[in-house]
Amino acid sequence: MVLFLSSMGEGFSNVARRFATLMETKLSLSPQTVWSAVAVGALLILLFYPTLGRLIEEWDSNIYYSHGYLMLPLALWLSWRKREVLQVVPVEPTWRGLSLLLTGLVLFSIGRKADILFAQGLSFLLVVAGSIYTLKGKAVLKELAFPIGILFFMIPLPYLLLDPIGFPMKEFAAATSSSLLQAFGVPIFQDGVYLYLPNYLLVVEDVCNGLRSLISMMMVGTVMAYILLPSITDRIILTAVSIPIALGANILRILLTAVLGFYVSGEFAEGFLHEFSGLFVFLVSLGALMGVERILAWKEQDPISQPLSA
Amino acid sequence: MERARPHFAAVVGLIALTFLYVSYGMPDETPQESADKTAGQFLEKIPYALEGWTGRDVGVDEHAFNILSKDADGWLVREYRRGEDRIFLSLVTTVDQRKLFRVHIPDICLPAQGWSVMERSSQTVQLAPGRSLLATSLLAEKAGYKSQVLYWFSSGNRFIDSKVLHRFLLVWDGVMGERTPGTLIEITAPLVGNDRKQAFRVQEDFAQLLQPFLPAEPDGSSV
Repeated sequence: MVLFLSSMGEGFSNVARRFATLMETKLSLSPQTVWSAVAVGALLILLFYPTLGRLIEEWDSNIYYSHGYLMLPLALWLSWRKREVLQVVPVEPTWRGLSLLLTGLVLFSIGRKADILFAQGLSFLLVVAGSIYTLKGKAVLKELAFPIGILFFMIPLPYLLLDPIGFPMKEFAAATSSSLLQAFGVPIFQDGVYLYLPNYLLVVEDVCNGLRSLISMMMVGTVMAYILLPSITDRIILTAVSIPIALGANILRILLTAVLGFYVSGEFAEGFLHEFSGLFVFLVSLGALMGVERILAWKEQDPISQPLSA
Repeated sequence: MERARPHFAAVVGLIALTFLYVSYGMPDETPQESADKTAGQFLEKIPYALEGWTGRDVGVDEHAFNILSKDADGWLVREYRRGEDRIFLSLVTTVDQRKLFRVHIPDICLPAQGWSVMERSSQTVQLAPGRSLLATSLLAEKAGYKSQVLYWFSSGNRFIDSKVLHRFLLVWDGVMGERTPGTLIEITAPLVGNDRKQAFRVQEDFAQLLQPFLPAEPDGSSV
């Protein structure tokens, strides 16, 4: 038994040494950086493991956060893109980072004790940021601020915040869809979130309020803006434009469902085609977002809009 | 790295201490496991006959039924009549009050059903001599009909009229290690003419009769 454990220990130690060498050669990270990152990372996994389990449950069940699985890999990839910059940025450990770290840990403790997932999730961002700030300094944190910040999109907002946003969106979607359908000659009566067609009742449920599209489009828009646009103004514009695109896409989906329900049948409209229409509309909105990005990028490069050099 | 060694020790130390605290200072049961499963049983004891009032169960539409089935641990929707007076009683309860937040408050439910909320205010409801609570009052209108909706929450043994405050107390209870049930109590009275005072009298009278059957006791003030 002792021999077995000792062999296992040696095996792990070999794997760890190879990992450290790999990090050093591929990412040009010093052994100390690698080992400190591994140690802190392992502790963070230990601390946040139950939170991660709860987050996964939410990503599976919460209609607004099915994109949650993508966020950690995305954040890691965005951090990896910064590897060359991180090699030249000055590393200045500072005690100032402890205030951010402590805030995160206290928030985490409260979140665990009161079983509030949002607090636990938010604390993860603060703890990671605080650890980096303390160990590596402000300049390194600044470079990694966006990859850490983007993780906010994986944390389900509490229902106390979702309802005041989601319900007005539902009303807006129902009212706008009803007006557009009437304008196109489809006989329809709107009663709150109920859209009465002659042969079909369409209920604008929570899943149709557009909040899911809004959250995922804002995430996509934010990442696209960060990667593709150098100007802060253009980044803000692209992120902001994702909001009307998401709202418009949601209304388009309701319109498609209503039209199919009216001209074919309710079963046809709410079957496979309803899910397919969701994917179709998402791709259309992605295309719209990329179109806006291209316009903003072209505007940056357009020689006519550039100031003439002296 | 030499320069960073004390910082590294501090970061590792703080995270490790937090891990120990949450590992050994947490309740063994999950909130759902520790929640009182009998908390919704009081609904079965709400009588149909209540000092001159006669009640009958009212069905809910499919949309509301789906929401209630998913998020509530018990609910009751009844119409009560006494002569020409008429009210609708709606009680939604959750054994773990965090789930209560997923149940839509009347401010959201009413517009979803085509009602327009014309006014929103706070109203003191006298449940017994020296015992009152602060409820939220809504004036809603649909197709020419008006209704006055009075609602409040109970959180454990407290009455609360604010969803935000309810949330704060939930956090407080959680930090203190409590897992308390919650109930949304809603009494709706159709308006005859525009006599809101008369509608409120009817609602208050009914609330006084209902109070002994509710889990929370008013202690002279609500939170």
